[in-house]
Amino acid sequence: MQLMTSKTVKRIKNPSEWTTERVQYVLNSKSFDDYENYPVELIIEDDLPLELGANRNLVFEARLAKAIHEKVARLRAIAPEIVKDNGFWMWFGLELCREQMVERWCNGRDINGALRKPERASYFLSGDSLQAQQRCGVRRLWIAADISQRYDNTYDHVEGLLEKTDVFAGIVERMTGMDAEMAVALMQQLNPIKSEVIRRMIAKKVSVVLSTVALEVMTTNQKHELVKLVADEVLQAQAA
Amino acid sequence: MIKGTPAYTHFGTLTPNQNKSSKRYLKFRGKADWVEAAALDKADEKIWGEDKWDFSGRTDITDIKFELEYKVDAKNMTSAYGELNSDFIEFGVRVWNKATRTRKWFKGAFTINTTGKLEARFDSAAALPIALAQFSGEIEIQPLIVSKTPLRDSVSGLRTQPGTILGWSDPIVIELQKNRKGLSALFEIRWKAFSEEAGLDGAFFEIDWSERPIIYLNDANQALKQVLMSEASRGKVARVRDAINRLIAHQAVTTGLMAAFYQFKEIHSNGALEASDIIENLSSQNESILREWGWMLTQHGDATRVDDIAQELLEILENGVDLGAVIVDELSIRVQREFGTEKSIDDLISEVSDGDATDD
Repeated sequence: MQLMTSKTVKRIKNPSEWTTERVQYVLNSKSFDDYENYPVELIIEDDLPLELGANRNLVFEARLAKAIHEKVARLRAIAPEIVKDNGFWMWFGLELCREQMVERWCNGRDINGALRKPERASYFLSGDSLQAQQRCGVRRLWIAADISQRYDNTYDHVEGLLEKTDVFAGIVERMTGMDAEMAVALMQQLNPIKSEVIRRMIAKKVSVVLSTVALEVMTTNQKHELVKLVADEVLQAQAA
Repeated sequence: MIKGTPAYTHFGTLTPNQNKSSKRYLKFRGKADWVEAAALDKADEKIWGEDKWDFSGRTDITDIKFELEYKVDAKNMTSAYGELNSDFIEFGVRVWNKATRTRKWFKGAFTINTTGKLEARFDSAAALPIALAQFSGEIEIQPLIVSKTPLRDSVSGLRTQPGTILGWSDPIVIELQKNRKGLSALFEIRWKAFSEEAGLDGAFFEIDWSERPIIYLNDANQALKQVLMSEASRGKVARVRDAINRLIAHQAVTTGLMAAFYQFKEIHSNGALEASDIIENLSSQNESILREWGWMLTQHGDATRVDDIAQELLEILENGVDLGAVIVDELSIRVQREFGTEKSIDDLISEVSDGDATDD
């Protein structure tokens, strides 16, 4: 049982003045010294593909996701615990993808260079729940790349996973989305559907069906068949 | 958490086999040998709760392994599905770890004896070695019996699909948080029957403010337990659960802060003049609560580091600041804001307004 958690985020009085280290300390009780033991130069030495600037372009995000996954993999081989540390992802976002974070998640800067929505920075970088993992500006990209890798050892599904924000959130924020095969099966069924309402209905119904099933023992085909069956049922009911 | 008997099929709850106590082993950092839990000293005994194994902050332990044994009367199962064996059903544990986005299945073994009892056994050493560094947060290990093939339940008339959960036991949760926040960081939450102890009449929770603080909740109140154990994220039960949580948090934090401030003042009056000295001499529980919630006691409520908090408290003591104004006036407001009391009250009122509650 989890009792109340601290609403520490609200205690950053003036987020426009935050420094990376202060945010890190306040939100994660960590100072940058905590990361000195990690060979983070494995990531820092190489530039991330940020030359396009910060934008919402799907192709760019997929490229960035792949780059983040590849670079973190090198670090993960030495320090496997790194990817489950939300402090690491906050550090990554603030230190390596700061402008991307500003443009994509804080509505950019005004003519004076001040962040338009500074309060969004801590929201889109903090937390460790499935919901918070999904909304973390950099961690979400890594998750998309990781699902694709775990599914068939390629990055072929990253664009598909990131294509529709509601589909990605609907998959990744649910327990079902922790299973890479189920995540890809859902994405493939949901992306072609135009109505967001119907997409949500299908994702929800799949979760309900799976609440009495251990999807861990299902084969890849069984997972795809189950999602298709549910999607067909919902679509037929809507058509009728 | 799965509760009760499945409505969609016939099986039910797996009971831990009390006759064969489950074995648990730990491996300590830098050591090659496994140490059986029963051979550990008293400090390590605190790890093993009834349904939670708490390794929070135990960076000295690197690996664990365990054996679990369960039994279940298979009478309902055979009446619904006929005689079943390993061609049709499977026993194992489902492992979930949200922080690492892991969900996996590890197979165990089972037998059905001549009296119709199903006995299941899971040995993690063979199937699921747990290196703690590979996980984070909470690892939920749920023993399950699942169907391997489509089965027809002749009693309910329903047909199961592969993977359908036919039987389960309460999960074992392995807690690994190194930097927990909020009340869970400070308090261990335990259930016990209040009726068995004197002095607990009329209480639904009790705070044990010891080196490792514990909030005990009344196990006899099953309705309370059901609400507080709920993992619902929305709806009536979630709102009531959050309101009860807030009530507990209010009292636990206020009481703990008062205890911490009292000791802080006492250490100061005994001659410690530096904030860092006072912090060093606080008991661990008092230091922890000041670290997490001590900002509520400060004049402006904006200190975040424990040394800043201690410095402000020191100034309050030394400068003759009106303690009543700082603590009594501000604290109650800050506690309410911190725990979202207003929203909680609104939620509860909306339950009454939305429903068909009548004033009798």
